[in-house]
Amino acid sequence: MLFNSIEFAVFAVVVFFLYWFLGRRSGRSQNIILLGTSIFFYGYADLRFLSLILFNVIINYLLGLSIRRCKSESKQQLVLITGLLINIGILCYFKYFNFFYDSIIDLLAVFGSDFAYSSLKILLPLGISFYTFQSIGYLLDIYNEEIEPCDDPLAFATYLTYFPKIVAGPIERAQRFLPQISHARQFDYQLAADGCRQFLWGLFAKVVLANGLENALNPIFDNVADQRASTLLVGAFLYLFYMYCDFSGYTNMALGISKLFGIRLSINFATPLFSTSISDFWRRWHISLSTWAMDYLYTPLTFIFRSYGKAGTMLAISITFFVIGIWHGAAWAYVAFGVLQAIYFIPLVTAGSVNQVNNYDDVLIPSPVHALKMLFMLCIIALAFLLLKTESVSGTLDYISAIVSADLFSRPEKFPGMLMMIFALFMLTEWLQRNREHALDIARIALPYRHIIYIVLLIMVFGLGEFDNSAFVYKQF
Amino acid sequence: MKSFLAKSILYISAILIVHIIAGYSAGGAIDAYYLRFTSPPQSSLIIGSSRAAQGLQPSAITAVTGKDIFNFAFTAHDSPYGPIYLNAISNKIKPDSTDGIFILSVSPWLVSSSSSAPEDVSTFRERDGILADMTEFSMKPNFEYLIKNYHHGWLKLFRKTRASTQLHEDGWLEITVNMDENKVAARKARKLEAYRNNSLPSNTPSQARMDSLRDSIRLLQQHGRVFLVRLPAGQEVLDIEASLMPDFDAQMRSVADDFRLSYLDFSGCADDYTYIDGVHLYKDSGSKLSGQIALLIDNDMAADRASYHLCSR
Repeated sequence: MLFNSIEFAVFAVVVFFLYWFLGRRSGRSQNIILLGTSIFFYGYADLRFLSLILFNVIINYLLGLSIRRCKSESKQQLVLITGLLINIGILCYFKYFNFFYDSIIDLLAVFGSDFAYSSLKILLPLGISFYTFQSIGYLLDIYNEEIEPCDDPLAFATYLTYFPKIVAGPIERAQRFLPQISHARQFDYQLAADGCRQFLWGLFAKVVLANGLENALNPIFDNVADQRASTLLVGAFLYLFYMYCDFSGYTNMALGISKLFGIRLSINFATPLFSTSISDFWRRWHISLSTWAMDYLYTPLTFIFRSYGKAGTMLAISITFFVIGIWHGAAWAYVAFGVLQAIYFIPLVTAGSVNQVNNYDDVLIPSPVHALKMLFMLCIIALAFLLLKTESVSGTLDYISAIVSADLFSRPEKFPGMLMMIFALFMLTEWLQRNREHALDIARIALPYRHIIYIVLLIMVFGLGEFDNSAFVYKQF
Repeated sequence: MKSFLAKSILYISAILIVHIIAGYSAGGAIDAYYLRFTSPPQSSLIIGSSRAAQGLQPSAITAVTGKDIFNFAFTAHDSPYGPIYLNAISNKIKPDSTDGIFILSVSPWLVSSSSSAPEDVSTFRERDGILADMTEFSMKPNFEYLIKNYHHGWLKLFRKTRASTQLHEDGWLEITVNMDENKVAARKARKLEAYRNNSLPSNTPSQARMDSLRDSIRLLQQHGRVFLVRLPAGQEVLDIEASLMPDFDAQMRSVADDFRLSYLDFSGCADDYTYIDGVHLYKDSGSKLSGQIALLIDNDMAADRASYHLCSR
């Protein structure tokens, strides 16, 4: 059930009325409704793995309580390690088993083994990467005494299965989510209206831009060999723009829907296409994943490797991005994606400016230096994202080598001019609104103008949109 | 809450009204299928895949036979012979009609299955096609179709003509493409590659589909006279089809014998026609072939016997 489908529209309306009319008496009844509808939502998408997510809920709930109940540090550690092994083990089995298995067989083949084998047919459960990372973060936070374990199984189950974020995040922290559902929520008009605006902006990004860009870039990537270099270059940027519109669109819809139920989810994007360095980019792109990796991987690793100086920092960054890379999928291309990000960090580590924040929040027009930095970042990020598109290192190298040819400066055969104009307006709005939670945070604008903006956007969404049921790209990760 | 609901209802109502208005203006330019679901039930039908959808022109047949005929052919993916297409056909026929003409285009692909269990109808490829979950085949505007199968914005619903693909009121799908020799050759090469690399390795002749073809004929013979037609195609395609089903013609003759109907085989004169991609007839050739078929039908209408017309140069 995609957020941009008719089924979801009907589902959301039903849940809204159940939640605010049937469940308004208590937080508990609201949570029961959210849990029940979330289970329905997940089961509607894939009934086979409902038991897996429910197992995940039960085991992490019990492990969370056990960590706190253990008296000694060593016992707490044992429970934590058990929990990590269970969570990572399930993730590895469903997501990475064939990858590691095939890689080992390939490695053996290098040494002359002719072991006959066939990969197992293992289906990837929906949202497993997202809810597994949430569970791991929850257990680590309890162990580190950042939070108390949740003793309400209903609230905990609601936290892990909450339907707006189950498919593709954000990777929500328990300390942010659980307090919001610990009491009865009252309908907040301003929050709900803002949720609708955020949903509309996400819907616009998805159905007008992402789906339109997908239609434009598929013919390019389907037939790379026959394209001019300039068309391939356009294709690489189109894919980056598509990824941004698709994922940020999904996230805005998720956050918007959630606000209708009085629950705020974490911000996942902060205009990443205006980044001026790679560290800046990862502070703005898929923020819930990068902060997760920062808190649970990079920071502890930096501490472990602190005696190695810059080499230690580089090692911590490399391991962190290896995990981020392979989090996206089970293939060497994703590993290469992570490695490439780590390589991009080398100049920052060398200059000691990994944590430097580029502040241009108050300027209307970026300086030439900032603009050049942004352009450079767009280029290297587009290059890296080719790995996610082709899902192959050799395919990416072939693509790049095809770009570097004599007809790079010829006119591209395929260029979606009208769509790029709409995208430019979209980006302009994002730039002007970059200090707000989302680009359509326009509550301060006079009512008539606001409604004009809504109507224009609705005309574009329903008039020009593509509702071809193409799934959100991050769903596959 | 009341204010929020009032505004939401206002916006949702406006969106619905615009969509309903757009639905009323939808025509043959919105996609390649819609009008086939809006026309009233028909006495005479053209059945088959995209080859028939593009190649057989009802107006040319009506001009000779004097009978209105409707092109109800879709694609090899959506409308191979099987329970789903049979259900669609039975819904599209005027229930009380008895003197219709039914042209059933046949090819090895339409009686083959691309599933690993070719005799299991529940695995047939058309399960996810446009006919699979339709219940209304003659409703104008057909909101069921628009909701299930039309995935674009409503602005395109107002479009009245399309440069490349225009579906006519009689169901004929007119394709206008650049017929430059190089362009045709490139399209043909892509098509042949798809046939060789995708279609041929994945398809297997299916007795269940043959049974459905027979069921279709049985149904249609209650409403008029049935003609089996093998449309012409480029020689390379016919060679691929021969490797998929070497005994295809023999099987069609057997069907014709069993049901005492005519089998018109135009595969022998492939070079008499022009194709946009080696498979689909260009519209001029489609008009010519439709006229030829109409003449054969007109001559054979009264016959109650099996006959074969083998086109050869």
